[in-house]
Amino acid sequence: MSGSNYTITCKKCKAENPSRGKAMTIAMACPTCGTYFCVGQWNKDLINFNFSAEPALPIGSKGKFEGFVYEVIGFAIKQETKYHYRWREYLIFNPMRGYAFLSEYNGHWNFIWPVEEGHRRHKSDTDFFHEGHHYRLYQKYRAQVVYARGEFFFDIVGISDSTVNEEFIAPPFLYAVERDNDSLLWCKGEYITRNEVANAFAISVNKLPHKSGMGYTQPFNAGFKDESLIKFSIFLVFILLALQIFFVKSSTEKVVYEKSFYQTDLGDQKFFVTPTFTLEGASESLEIKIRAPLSNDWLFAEFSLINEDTGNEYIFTKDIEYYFGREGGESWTEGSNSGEAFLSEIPAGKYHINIYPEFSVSNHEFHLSVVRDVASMSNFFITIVGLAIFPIAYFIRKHILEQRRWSDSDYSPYATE
Amino acid sequence: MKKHSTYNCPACNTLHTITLELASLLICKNCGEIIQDGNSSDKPPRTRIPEDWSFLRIGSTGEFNKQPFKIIGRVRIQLRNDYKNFWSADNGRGECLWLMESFGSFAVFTSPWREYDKDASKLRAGNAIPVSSDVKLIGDYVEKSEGVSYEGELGPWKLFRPGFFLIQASANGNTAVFLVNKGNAEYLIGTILSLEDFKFQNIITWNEWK
Amino acid sequence: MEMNELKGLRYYIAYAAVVIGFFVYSGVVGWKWFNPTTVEHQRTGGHHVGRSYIYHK
Repeated sequence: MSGSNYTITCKKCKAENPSRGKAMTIAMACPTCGTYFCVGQWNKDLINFNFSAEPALPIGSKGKFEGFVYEVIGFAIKQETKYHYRWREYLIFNPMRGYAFLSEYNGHWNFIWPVEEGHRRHKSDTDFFHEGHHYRLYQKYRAQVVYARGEFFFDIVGISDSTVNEEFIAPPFLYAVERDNDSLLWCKGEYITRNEVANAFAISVNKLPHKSGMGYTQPFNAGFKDESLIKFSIFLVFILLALQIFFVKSSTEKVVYEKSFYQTDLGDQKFFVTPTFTLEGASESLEIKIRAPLSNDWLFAEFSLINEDTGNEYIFTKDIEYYFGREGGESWTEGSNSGEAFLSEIPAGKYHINIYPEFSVSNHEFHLSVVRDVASMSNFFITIVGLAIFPIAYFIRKHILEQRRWSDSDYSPYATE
Repeated sequence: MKKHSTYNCPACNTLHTITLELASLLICKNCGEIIQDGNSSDKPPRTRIPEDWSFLRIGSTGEFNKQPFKIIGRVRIQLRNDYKNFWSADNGRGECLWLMESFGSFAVFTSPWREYDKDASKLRAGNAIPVSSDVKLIGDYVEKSEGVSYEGELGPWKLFRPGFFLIQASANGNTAVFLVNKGNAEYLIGTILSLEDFKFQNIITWNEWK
Repeated sequence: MEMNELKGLRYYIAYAAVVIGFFVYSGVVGWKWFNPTTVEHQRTGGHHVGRSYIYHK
């Protein structure tokens, strides 16, 4: 200890209370009787509070912030006068840094300190820019002290009663201004986590109030800026586009077999058999294109692609239909005269196709093309959607959390009339 | 009280030598008696500097504008909701600079005291306060003084009795402190600085905050 | 983009790497995801007419 015998006499019970703040203490709550009084002679009010509360950070406990040791000198519970919500403030002190506050509400903490740099140029009454951050008005309020313990460097009860407060936020930062006729005090604050407070005071985090909801300065801590996510997403789209262009340009789209088939050529056979054709390269796609001169008609066929070397058989069907007409003076069409069947990962080798067609009454022919190595566009679009899931989910989540952040504010940008 | 002039304390006879070119007051380092030139009618009553947690003391040194200074005296003003230490410092050339310190905030005043010839009732928190044609400040607070105490050797100072108002106004790193007593306002104009700007040495390092 | 930003985006980068890697593999081997053509794969045991022949005899 400092060895100081500095004491302050309680104005109510006359107890001689050792003072940590020494001559800097302007007001204190007597540890013996709990009465709050101002040390000087100009304010003789004696205040007794209706209830008692235990501070999560005891008076006299010490915590380290940015290399400086602060001691908890005073504790107060404040209540807002309109909505009656309560929060807790801890007055902490370091001789070289002066005093600061740890403010806690719903388990969310802010480290707040007085600043000289008030009088920012206000863009408007509700927001301003400072040091690259956009601060928005979160709340205007008056408050009362409903409980106090320890010592204070100012008349915390009197000042709370007489001042109007405004808080502007740019999470994790805030600027608070407290004004009355005689003073205009600016403070800056920054959100700190329960874990940081617990670590600073070397206590278990379970001794601190549990978090609930979203803190009004709690950062949406993604570890990156929105702009970075957008830039990176655009970068990915370009990469993907480049890859797709590469795949399209490098696909050979080689027609390995092509022929027209007529029902009359079928004779007594049930199916056509194509001659053997060779598929080159490694595992690649194969597209079977069918075209028929349909006129309000259809064509159905079952196909069997047979690898003559391995005996593997790929069975698929394809039907095409084309209808058209005129109704109410307007022409309409449905379907198409052509269609494609896509086969993935067909290895190289010798193949032929068995075709089991079903001809309709009016259509008796079709044209078949077998094309090797055809690029697919659908994979590209599916990949775009797959990559977009992350940023979309991020912005939706951020929007929901921002709405939650502003739900207690009278100046919410999300408020609807 | 001029530089190199010597004074014996009228209470305990301790010898003191003035270091500033011009000092307004000397407080006996031995017994705390106020020593002034002649029979001044504004000689303040003798009061002990109350105990506080200031880390500066008489003998502490620092730098301002790359020039060293040494603290040789203090005026401590107890306000209703604050306190201000005005440290009197010798810049090595016998000139006094005032270092205002309170709860980790600092300002340096090198200007002489000036009379504020405008309406002193306009010196309010939140008001625009013009101090010169090119310097306009905004009022920070108005506080009433409840006690003043002195130690060491002081440069030019307004020896008002407690009850005067202290008003501070600032903008863009400039600051002014006004002392208003019975309608008369005098002020100092200076610069807001931070702890790191001074490179203090020979300070009190309180054990509890290590 | 700063290293810190890339570090913050590491999960997205990893996810994107997997998705794009998948896309590249599919492009190389000619694999179409969500193919509207339903393909049945059989082994004929060397018969050139194929299994489907049985159902159309």
